[in-house]
Formats: sequence, structure tokens, C-alpha cells
Amino acid sequence: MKTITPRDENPCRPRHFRPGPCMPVAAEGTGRNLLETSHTRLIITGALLCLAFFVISARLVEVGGFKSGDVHPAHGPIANRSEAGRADIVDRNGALLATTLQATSLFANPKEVLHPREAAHKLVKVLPDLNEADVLAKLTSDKSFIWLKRHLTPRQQDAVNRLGIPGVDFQAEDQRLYPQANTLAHLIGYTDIDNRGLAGVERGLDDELRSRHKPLELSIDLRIQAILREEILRQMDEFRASGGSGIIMDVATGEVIALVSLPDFDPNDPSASPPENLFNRVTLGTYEIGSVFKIFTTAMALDAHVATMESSYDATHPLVVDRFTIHDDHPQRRWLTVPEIFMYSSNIGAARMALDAGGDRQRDFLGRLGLLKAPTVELPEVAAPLVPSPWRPINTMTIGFGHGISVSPLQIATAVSAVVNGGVLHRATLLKVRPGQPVPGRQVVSAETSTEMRKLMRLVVEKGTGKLAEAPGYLVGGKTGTAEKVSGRGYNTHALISSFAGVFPMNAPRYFVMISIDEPHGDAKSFGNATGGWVAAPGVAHTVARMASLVGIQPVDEESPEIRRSLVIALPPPSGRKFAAN
Amino acid sequence: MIRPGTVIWLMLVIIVGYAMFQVKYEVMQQEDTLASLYKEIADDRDQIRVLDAEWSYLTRPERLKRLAGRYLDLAPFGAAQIVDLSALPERPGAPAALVTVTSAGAAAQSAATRAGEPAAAEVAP
Repeated sequence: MKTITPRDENPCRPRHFRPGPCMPVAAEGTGRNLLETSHTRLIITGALLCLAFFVISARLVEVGGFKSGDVHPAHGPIANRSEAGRADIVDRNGALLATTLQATSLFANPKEVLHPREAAHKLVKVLPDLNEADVLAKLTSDKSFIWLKRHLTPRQQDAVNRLGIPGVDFQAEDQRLYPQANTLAHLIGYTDIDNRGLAGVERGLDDELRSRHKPLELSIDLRIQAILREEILRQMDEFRASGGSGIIMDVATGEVIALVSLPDFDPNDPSASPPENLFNRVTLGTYEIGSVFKIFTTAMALDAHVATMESSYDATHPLVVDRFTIHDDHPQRRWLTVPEIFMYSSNIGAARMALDAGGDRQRDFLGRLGLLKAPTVELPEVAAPLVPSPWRPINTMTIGFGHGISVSPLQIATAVSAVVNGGVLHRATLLKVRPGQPVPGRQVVSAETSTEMRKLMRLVVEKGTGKLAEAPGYLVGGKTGTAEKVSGRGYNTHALISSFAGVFPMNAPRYFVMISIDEPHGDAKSFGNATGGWVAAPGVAHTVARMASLVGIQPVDEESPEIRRSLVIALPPPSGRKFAAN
Repeated sequence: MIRPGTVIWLMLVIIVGYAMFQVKYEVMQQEDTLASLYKEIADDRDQIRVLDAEWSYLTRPERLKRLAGRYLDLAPFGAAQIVDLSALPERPGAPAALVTVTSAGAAAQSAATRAGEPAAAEVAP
């Protein structure tokens, strides 16, 4: 490189200005080369820029013109909250039983609270159910998030908002709500404040409720549930009882239509009720149910051809075995046929019948009916039955009339449904079975035995201990049961559990209805009686009469020849003796 | 000196730039509208849930029964009030031809009932 003479010939140029070497200085040929290189570079750069602009333009056209439907806003669509939160629970007709609503909760960031003492004082003034010392302790803690109160009412929210305390804010939360309150308390159960299921269906199907999008349909019919609850309450009131329970089941599918346990509680605030009210008597309670068990004893004897409808047993004298004596509540003091044993509810007859069939056969039969192990149903509150071990002959006899074995009303419902529906046992369920949906079942007794049992159960209501269960036109059949409550190692003769297990209409059974009343006291109307036939049977009659039209069952004429033919049993000439309902 | 080509390009740049910002603002506005619509839908859904719960609360069977008892002059009907269509007496003064047809139909119906067929139920007043 060598210096060149300035090319600037401007005479007016400032003196201190010296133009720099502004051009590459090279030989003639080299300069031309350089120029060409620069030109090529310029073209390449320009082409690249053009390409970039072209790409951007193309993208613009694409976004603006063609793909508008696919472009999502940054925040995305707001999800349907029923999809996001816990699923609703509805009854078989779609009536809402449990839902999730938005609620507001109050929290504090203690690090941002400037005057904790003053803030606590102000908060307690507008939220009187809070404790000022508690609030102060929370506001002075060293956490950065602490709940002050969950699920405020809009009025409370407004009041707190007006206080304008720094460091105290609201958070939207889901809150579970039960519009039907007490009516389905034990069945639906409840959740804790963070919407985790704690009892009932809420707990039994917790995962399902969290994950599903559509409402969960139960087998329950809210109207029938309300009827059953009202009728049990009425019987409890009349007989000053301490509790009661009831269950209605579709005998063809095992669907539970109603399930009532009293006293009950409000699932919106379960802690407001005494803890014993949370106990579900239908599934978690096991009881010596008494004479209702004669349904199973008789079905067993008939099914195994140990006895026929014409067989008879000696019920002349009380039966003495070891140190036990088995009495009849309505002693006839003569030989009784099988239908008579059933309608007069003879313990002696049932014990002899059970003994005839034998302990092994009895255990096997009860096992087939699902009475010896805990049932499965969509509830966490399920009890296992109390079964004797070893199974001695005396157990066989007492179990023959329902003592010495404790089962839950749910098990009775499942087993009796099987005995009357043609002999097919279906698992009890709380979920709706769609019409036409196949229901798995197991044949446990023959169809002939089932037909004979229908006649026997109808006989009890027509002529026997369950006359008060009659609902004209609906052909109710069933069996009474009165058991002394077990207390300590013996029985308490004054504390009874009086039940009636009914089925209707008996010519083509559709529904099982059972009511049990706990510790009833006889009154003048029942002539001092507190037995199943006096206390529980009328409740079943009322329930049947009120629910029949809801489920589309048409009343029939009991005296019509085809009904008589299908249900009536020829009895030996009456002894002329009067008997009271059991 | 500015060449006409440069002028055209400059104009184009200005127009495209303006159009782009115009579109951008429009999109932003549309997004705001969309967001508020989504929020409205969510609010409406919440409102529907609240109303559903309230409806369910207000139509509790026990409450309906109480209200019906207080305001209505009605009672639940008994089994005796439900009769078969064939059990209804023939209308007096009906044309003879019609009567024969009706009675034949009624006979057929009662036969069907006897055979275990479900028959229509009528509620007598």
C-alpha cells in the first residue's frame, strides 16, 4: 500500500481537513476485482433479505387468510366448570342431589398485613363466628398464605372488601352443595372442605366423581325416597322409637330405589348433628332381624325338597334344647303345616324345619343368598354379618327364626328379592340400570320355590301376622319380624327391633320394601303391641300405596279369579282361634 | 434525487406498515371480545348451576307436599280411584252402532287385561 495524492481539489476546503484514504488503493486490475466481489456480496445479501421478507409475507397471508379458525387466543377457552370440578349427582329421573358451586374464601398473607391487631379486630367485627385471638395468631404467623375463612356469603365478602385491609384477599373455590339436605343424607354422604369424599356415594365413588364430565345417575328415585322417609318418621313418631331404617329395591335388577336411615343429618353441615346420626343403619348396621329369616328357612326347605307345602311340624309344646327353650309368640299348640308356620310365624316350627334341613345345608343356602359375607355396593359403609362359629345345631335352630345371626337390611333386601323374583340373585347397586341393560345374576332357588314363596308371603298379609301391611289393590306380601336387641351377652326384652319385609305386587313382584323401627313403644292404638306387624307393617302399606302410581303399577282386584288362582293356598280348616298381628 | 421507484416502495412500506398495525389492533380487540364472551359464558354457566341448585332446593318433595297441603284443594288419589277403561259404564244416549263397537272393544280389552297385558289406566275425577 502506498500513499496517493488527494483527489479532492476543492479550494474552499477547511485548512485542517485532510481527506482520509477513502478508496482502496490498488493496481488497476485488483480494484476491478474488488468491485466485482462487493457487487456479488451485495446481490447475495439482497436476495437473502428478499427471501426473508417473502417468507414473512407468506406467513402473514397464511395467518390472515387461511388459518384464522385454528388460531387460539393466548388464554384459551374457559373450560366448562362442570367438566373441571366435581361431577353432579342426580337421581334416576334427573333430579339434582349434589352439585358444585363457586364460593369465595378469605385468605391472608401475614407478611403484608401492616397492623395485625387492628385487622383482626375489624375482621371479627364483620365475621362474628371467627375468634379474634385465632385470627390474630394467624395474622402474626410467619407464613405467606393462610386461610382465614372458607366459603363466605356474598354479603360477608362485601363487608370484608369494605374494610380494605392490606394483605387480606379472596380466592374463588368450589363448594359442594346438597339441595335435598337430610332426605338422602346417608346415601349421598358428604365431602370435606377441599371436596374430597368422606362418606356415602361421595366417598364410595370419589374417583369416578372427580374424573367424570357428566352427572352421575343413581338408581334412587327422589320422590319415593321422600315418601319412605316420611312414612318411617311417622311410625317412629307414633311409637316413640329411637330410630328407624328402610330400603326399597327393584327385585328384577337389584337397584336400590330408596334408602333411609333415621335419625339423619344435613350433609351440608354434618358436624352440626350428633356423630351417631351419621351411622347408616341400612348398610353398616347389622341386626338379628327375627322372623323375617323364616323366608329363608322356608325357601331352603322347599327348594331342597326337605318339606313341601303340605308337610307339617309339631308346634304343640315349646321346644327345649340344652338350656334354651324356644317359644311361639302366637302359640297354636298343635301340628302346623308349612304355610301355617309361616303365617303364624311359629318359632318352634321354623326351628324344626331348619333342623330337618340340617346345618350344612342351611349354611350353604344362606351363603348362596349372600347373607354370610359383606355385600358389595357403591358405599364405603358396609358391614360384614355376624355369623356363629362353630355352627352348632342350636345355631341352626335359632337362625331358622332369625336369631343368632346379624345381617344388614341391605343383605335382607338382596336375598328376599332373589327369593321372590324367580330365584335370581342380583348384586345390590346404587347406579341406574338402563332399560334393556343386562344385569348379571345367579340362580339361587328354583322358579317353583319362588312361586311358592310368593304365595306364602301373600298369605301373611292376607291372613297372618302382617295384615296391617295390606295396601288395597297392590297385592302386598311379606313377613313380619320382631327381635329383641342384643345387649351384652343376653337379650333385652324391652328393646325391640320391629320390621316388616314386604314385596309387591305379589303376582308379579316388582319392588321390595322393608321398614325397621328401632325400640318402638306400643300405644293405645296398637293395644300396647310394638311388634313388626303393628309398628312397621302400616308404614310399608302407606309407602306402597303412595309409590305404586309413581312407578306405574296398576291396582288389581284381589278377589278376581285369576289372582286367587295364582296366589291363594288351601289351608286346613281354621281352628277358630284368634291371633294378634306379630 | 429521489427516483420514482423509491417513492413507490416507500409508499408501499407505509401502507403495509399501517395495514399491519391496523390488523394487529383489530385482532387484539377481537381477542378481548372473545375473552369477555368466554367469561360471559362461564358466568352464565355458573348462574345456571346456581339456579339448578335453587330449583332443586325449591322443588324438594317435602316442600311441595307442604305447599300443596296449604294451597291446593287436592289429595293423593287412592287405588279405588284408578279403574280400567273397560270398567267404565257406557255413555247413555250414544248411537246404538257405536255402543256395540265400544262394548266389543271393551270386551277385547278386558280379555287382554286378563291375559296379563298392561291396560291403560284412567283416573276418575
